[in-house]
Amino acid sequence: MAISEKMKDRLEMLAAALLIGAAVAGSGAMAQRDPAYQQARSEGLIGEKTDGYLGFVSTPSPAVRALVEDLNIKRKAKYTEEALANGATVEEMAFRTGCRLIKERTVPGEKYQAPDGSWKTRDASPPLLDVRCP
Amino acid sequence: MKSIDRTVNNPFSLPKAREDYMRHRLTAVGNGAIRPNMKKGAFLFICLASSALAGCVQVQAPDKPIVINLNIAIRQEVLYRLDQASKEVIEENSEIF
Repeated sequence: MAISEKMKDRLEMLAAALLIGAAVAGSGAMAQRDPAYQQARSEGLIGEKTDGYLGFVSTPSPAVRALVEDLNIKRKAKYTEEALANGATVEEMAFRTGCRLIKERTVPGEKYQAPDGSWKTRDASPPLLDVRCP
Repeated sequence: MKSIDRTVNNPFSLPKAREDYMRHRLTAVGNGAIRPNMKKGAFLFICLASSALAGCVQVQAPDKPIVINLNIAIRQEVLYRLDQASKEVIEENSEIF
């Protein structure tokens, strides 16, 4: 009797763990870019700056401006969180992530900021990165 | 545990009374180590000083464009340390990156 009770508990825990796992995996797959954001990136209206935030390549429409500002605020919140957890400044965390964003998250056709501040279009060759990028 | 409760946390215990008396001696006297009334004086002084200054300080907009220096202070060794953190922050929040 006692054993079967224990087994039941274990099974319930296993089921719960599986459910949580599925939920996490689901949310991971769900975490897609907003289509408007993806479009603005692909069209080259916005680009990745060296400082870890999004910037405007040309004068943006109010909708694009609002979108980018919202994303940058969200990014800053995450950078702040991680910087605090790692004993770094928000700028350092943002800059380090910016290096990675330009290197790993931009695809050919998208814009990124070169170390001299100019906007470049990503092609198949490696992007121009700040010398401080690890 | 119980004996501690009976002494330190009891408002009428001897150690508490001694502590209270020492605090009283330090704070109540005009030239004591801590004077709570000083706070009031300092506050009043700051108010007066700032109101006096407000009358004469003028802020002028610069005629040249404002240039923001983007050369932020970055410690190289910290950038290496943030390698894993930057990877995770992108993976976990891929919708904003």
